[in-house]
Amino acid sequence: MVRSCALLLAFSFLAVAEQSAESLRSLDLEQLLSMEVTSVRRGRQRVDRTAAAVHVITQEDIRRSGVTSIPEALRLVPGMHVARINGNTWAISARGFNGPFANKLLVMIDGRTVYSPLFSGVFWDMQDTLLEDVDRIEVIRGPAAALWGANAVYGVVNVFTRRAEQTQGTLVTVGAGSEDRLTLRMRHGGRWGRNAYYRFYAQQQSRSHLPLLKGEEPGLWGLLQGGFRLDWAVGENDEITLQGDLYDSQGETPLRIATPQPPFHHVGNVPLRAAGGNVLARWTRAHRSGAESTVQSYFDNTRRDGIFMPFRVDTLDLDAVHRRPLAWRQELLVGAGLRHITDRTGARSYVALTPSAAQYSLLSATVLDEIRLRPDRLTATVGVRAERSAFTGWSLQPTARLMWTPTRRHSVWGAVSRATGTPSRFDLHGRLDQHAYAGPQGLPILSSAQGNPARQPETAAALEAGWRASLHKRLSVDVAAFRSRHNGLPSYARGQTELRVRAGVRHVFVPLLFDNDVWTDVSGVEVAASAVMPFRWRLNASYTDMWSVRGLMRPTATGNGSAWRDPRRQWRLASRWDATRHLQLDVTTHWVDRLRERAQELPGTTLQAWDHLRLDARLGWRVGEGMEWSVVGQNLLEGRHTEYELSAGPALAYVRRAVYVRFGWRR
Amino acid sequence: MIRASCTILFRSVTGMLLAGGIGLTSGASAPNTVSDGRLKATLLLQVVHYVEWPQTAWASSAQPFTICLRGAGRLADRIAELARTEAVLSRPVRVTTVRRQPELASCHVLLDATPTDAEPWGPQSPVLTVGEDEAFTRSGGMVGLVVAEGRVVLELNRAAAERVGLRFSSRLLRLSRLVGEERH
Repeated sequence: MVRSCALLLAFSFLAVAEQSAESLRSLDLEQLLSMEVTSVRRGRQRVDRTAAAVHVITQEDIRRSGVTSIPEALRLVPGMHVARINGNTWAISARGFNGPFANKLLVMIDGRTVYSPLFSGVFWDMQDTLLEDVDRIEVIRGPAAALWGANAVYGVVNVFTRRAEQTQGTLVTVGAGSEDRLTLRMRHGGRWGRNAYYRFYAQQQSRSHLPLLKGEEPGLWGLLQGGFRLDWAVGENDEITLQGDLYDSQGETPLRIATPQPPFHHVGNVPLRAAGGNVLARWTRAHRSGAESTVQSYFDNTRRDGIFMPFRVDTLDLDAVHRRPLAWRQELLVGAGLRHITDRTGARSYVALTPSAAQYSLLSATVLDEIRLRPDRLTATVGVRAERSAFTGWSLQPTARLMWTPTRRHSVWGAVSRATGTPSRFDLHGRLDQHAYAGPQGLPILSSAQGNPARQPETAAALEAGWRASLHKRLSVDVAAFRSRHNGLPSYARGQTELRVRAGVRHVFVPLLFDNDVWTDVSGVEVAASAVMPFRWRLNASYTDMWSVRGLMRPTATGNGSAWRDPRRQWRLASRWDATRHLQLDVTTHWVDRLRERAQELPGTTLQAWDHLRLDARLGWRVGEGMEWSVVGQNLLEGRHTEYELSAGPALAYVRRAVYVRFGWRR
Repeated sequence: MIRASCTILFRSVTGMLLAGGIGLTSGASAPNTVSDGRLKATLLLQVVHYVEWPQTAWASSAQPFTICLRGAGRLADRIAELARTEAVLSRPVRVTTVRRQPELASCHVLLDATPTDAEPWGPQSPVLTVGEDEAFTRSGGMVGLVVAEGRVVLELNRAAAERVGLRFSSRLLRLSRLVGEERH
């Protein structure tokens, strides 16, 4: 009797469960609105609820700004410094320390890291995806390490593509222009069975390079890429996502290297070949009472041969995150991750990694607690991320944030955080000839940066605060201010000089040994405003001001290994006007201050980038259901300007006027 | 004592089984929580009872109540499932997919699941537009079904609805968050 009773009890749970699902229809409005729902979170947190300097670039922003690649789209973020070095190289950073391998910005696409473990930084020309299917790009300026990891020292760029169910049907884009010579894109999305949606895409882009300061312009470079995404709802509370891409890019790229004979540097075009692929799987389960678990794994293969030595990097990553509500109005997030990297590199006369191949892992664990101290009014977030790098051991990255919302229209936030930058393989094991010049007694001098295997990670501690307000139904403002202290930035000391012969030329070889003795204080403020005007007209404006002070931590360090290549001020004004239901006119102006050199710099380099004003304009014309023409002009004001300066590696080019026409059709 | 409780349990469970129908769920649904797609679909089919369509919306008393779906998505699937056995305003419910604006002429409700950059179809009388996006009602949509802090919230844009001759009942207005528009 008791046994059958127990059986009945078990069945009754199921029956009750079934009942609540089926008898929903018998509930009235009030009851339905008070029910708790499990919804598999899309990872989307409302921007105005985040206690951090966040900016979201929407698909609409991307489309109407006329940008044709992800690095160019990042110009839309207040406080970002995007400097185009040449046709396929950018230096992108937020809040300072910019360089072609700026190592303080973590970049991810759909949860996959695209930050290079070999060189730090991002090879922006390889990070492409079908721009039309990008849902949003979330950019967090400031240390977001506690949530995203090391090398999020000064920010995170997170590109999210749309879910497959939002990209149904066929899309074709054809474009031609002065720089974006030919663009062909195709995507098709459909349904598979009752609960799965998929899409696959292919694109071919061919772009011309930009004119170099010296030397012949490199030839066209082209990218062929394809990929897919599958989103599958298994039952009511589970979701599986599978996605992958393959790409192959070929062309030329301009290289500037130091040579021990006059004129002591050589600029030339070298062949560029970059190819790779990735596949990612993610499973999310929504539990009752609002808890959610996600497990994700991806594999990424990258092969590249261009301005540095040829290399190949294979990454295998496994990540798990669990969120759950706790007592006392808390929500806890616990995560763990393991990443295994295998790399193999070749060598060139001017650059090499020693050892040339390596295998290493990164282990991480995160705990983050969000406490609603007073519901809808005061929320605190406290957390820490612990990481173990194979080269530099453990690091702790804590954060504490507070968000105060006195009224529905205003919110004020503050944060204190610490972040760590993990040295790249190049920082530890690399060698790159920096520059050469005529020495005394007629002997040329060649200096070469040497990696330091005992290099410590850079650390940053930041204090940030911000204010967001809806001043009026049509005007909103977002202000963020920060003050941060960076320790352990690269300094260098001259090592033992020796006489060497290379290609029959005798020269004095000076190794520059990298160490961690520079500190820098950076402070700044970023202001953004958005106004809705009458007659279907929108204005967005932003202004950034940033300044820094630096010094050496130890008197024995002789040189500063990183210059301050960041503008002090920037402002941006974007106008979006829906002139008629079919015609859109969008104009953007962006002024960037000159790059300032603050500390002693390596001799032989000169400052090239003056302040410049950029004007982009777009005309969009909807000709029918799902059909649109766009005509875009970029850099219309200045014939040519440079946005960066000379350095070893990617050669500097002029950014010039460009125009393109595009036709898009979707069904 | 146990025997008495078991008897009571037996009777109540049998009662529930008979009332609710026997079936095994996937086990993922627990009492008092339900997935947002199912709840939103059920909610929408309730909400339409508190909206008044003008007389011109009905060609005849036998005309079915038509819910049109633009774009694809889980909510659209749920509505298609539930609507099969529903009746609204004593009319049968018909669910259909639309691709071009002229097809809206036969619709009473439009569930818009397209991404925000798709061409917005101008207001058409007398169609009630429904969406799930947070910005849906702010850019001219009439009913937004948004999830906030674990519950579904109804966002209503009264001005947009009244422009096409639709009226929300006071009961509905009381339970919803009223949203003003950001553009002309």
